[in-house]
Amino acid sequence: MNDRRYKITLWTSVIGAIVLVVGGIVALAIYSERQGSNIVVPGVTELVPEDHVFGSAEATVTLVEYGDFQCPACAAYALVVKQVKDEYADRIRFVYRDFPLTQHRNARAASYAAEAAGVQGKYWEFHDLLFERQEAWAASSASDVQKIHEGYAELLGLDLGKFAADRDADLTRRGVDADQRSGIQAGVASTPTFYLNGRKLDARSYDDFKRDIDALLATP
Amino acid sequence: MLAVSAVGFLDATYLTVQHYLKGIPPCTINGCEVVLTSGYATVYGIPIALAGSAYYLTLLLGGIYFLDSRSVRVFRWFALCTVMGLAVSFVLVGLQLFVIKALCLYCMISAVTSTTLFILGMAVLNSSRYGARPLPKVPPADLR
Repeated sequence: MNDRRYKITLWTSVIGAIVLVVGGIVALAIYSERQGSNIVVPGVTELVPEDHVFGSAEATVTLVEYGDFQCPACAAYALVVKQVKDEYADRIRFVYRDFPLTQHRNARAASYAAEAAGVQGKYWEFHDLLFERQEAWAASSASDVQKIHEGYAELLGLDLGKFAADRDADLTRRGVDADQRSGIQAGVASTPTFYLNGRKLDARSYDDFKRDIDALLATP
Repeated sequence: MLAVSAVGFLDATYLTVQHYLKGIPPCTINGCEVVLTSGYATVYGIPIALAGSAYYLTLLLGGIYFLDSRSVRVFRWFALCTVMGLAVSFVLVGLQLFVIKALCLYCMISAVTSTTLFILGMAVLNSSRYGARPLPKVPPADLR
């Protein structure tokens, strides 16, 4: 009888322990998704002349995104970010910095193309196109990607010769490298990573962004 | 051995939970998500991590049962399971290295635990106490 009681106790405790552990793992997994931080990362909010800034130049609230044009998560966020940009255009500054990852073969090419479009004043339009149509070029060969991006340039009415020259220019390459270095220094480990006034932001939806931005705008 | 199974279980379960939680995973510097979102991460929609989790859980429960019952048969069965675990691990690591060309840290942790369990299993199988090696034919001294 005692033996049976012992066995029941043993196995109930084992099952119970396992359930608790699995619960703990679920909690841990959810917690580790949270990116937000209260630490202000120095240097993130400081703008450099090469930065692509959208919005009010004198704004006291700066939202920085480190992104990779070939990253599906960034493309998913692009819609939300666009909403934020449009809604807060006159009240915040939005900065996009390139953080191309090595596993994305075409990410750098996309960054260079966007920079080239920027020289002709159409950075944000090109940036939006790249994300909207990511599936069209993300998995293509390098030469196909070039053609597709040239198609976007044409769509935006850019001078194609100048576009190609700027895209391949050393200056462009160095600009993207500088963005990436800035991200590494800031501790970016994945894309997209957002910093609001230097603090890493954990925002999933437009409402999340709105809540944090509004809070900052409200403080004098 | 229980400890190693437990580690494997935690690791595989974490991956499984992540799989079911994530909408679109962010792209990481180490490329972990490339492995986890590749076609090889699931079989007919079931994440391999879940199978791994079940495997480690079985070993864990088997180990506890063995401690409780001291059954040699259970132990041998345990050791044989680790062979299968090792084989699967080999295939998955090979896929990462040669096909997907990206490594996922948690997957590699599982490979380490599978290999360790296999080595432990084989070591004990070879020992005369629980192992398959036949006992010496000479009767013990007090019976002679």
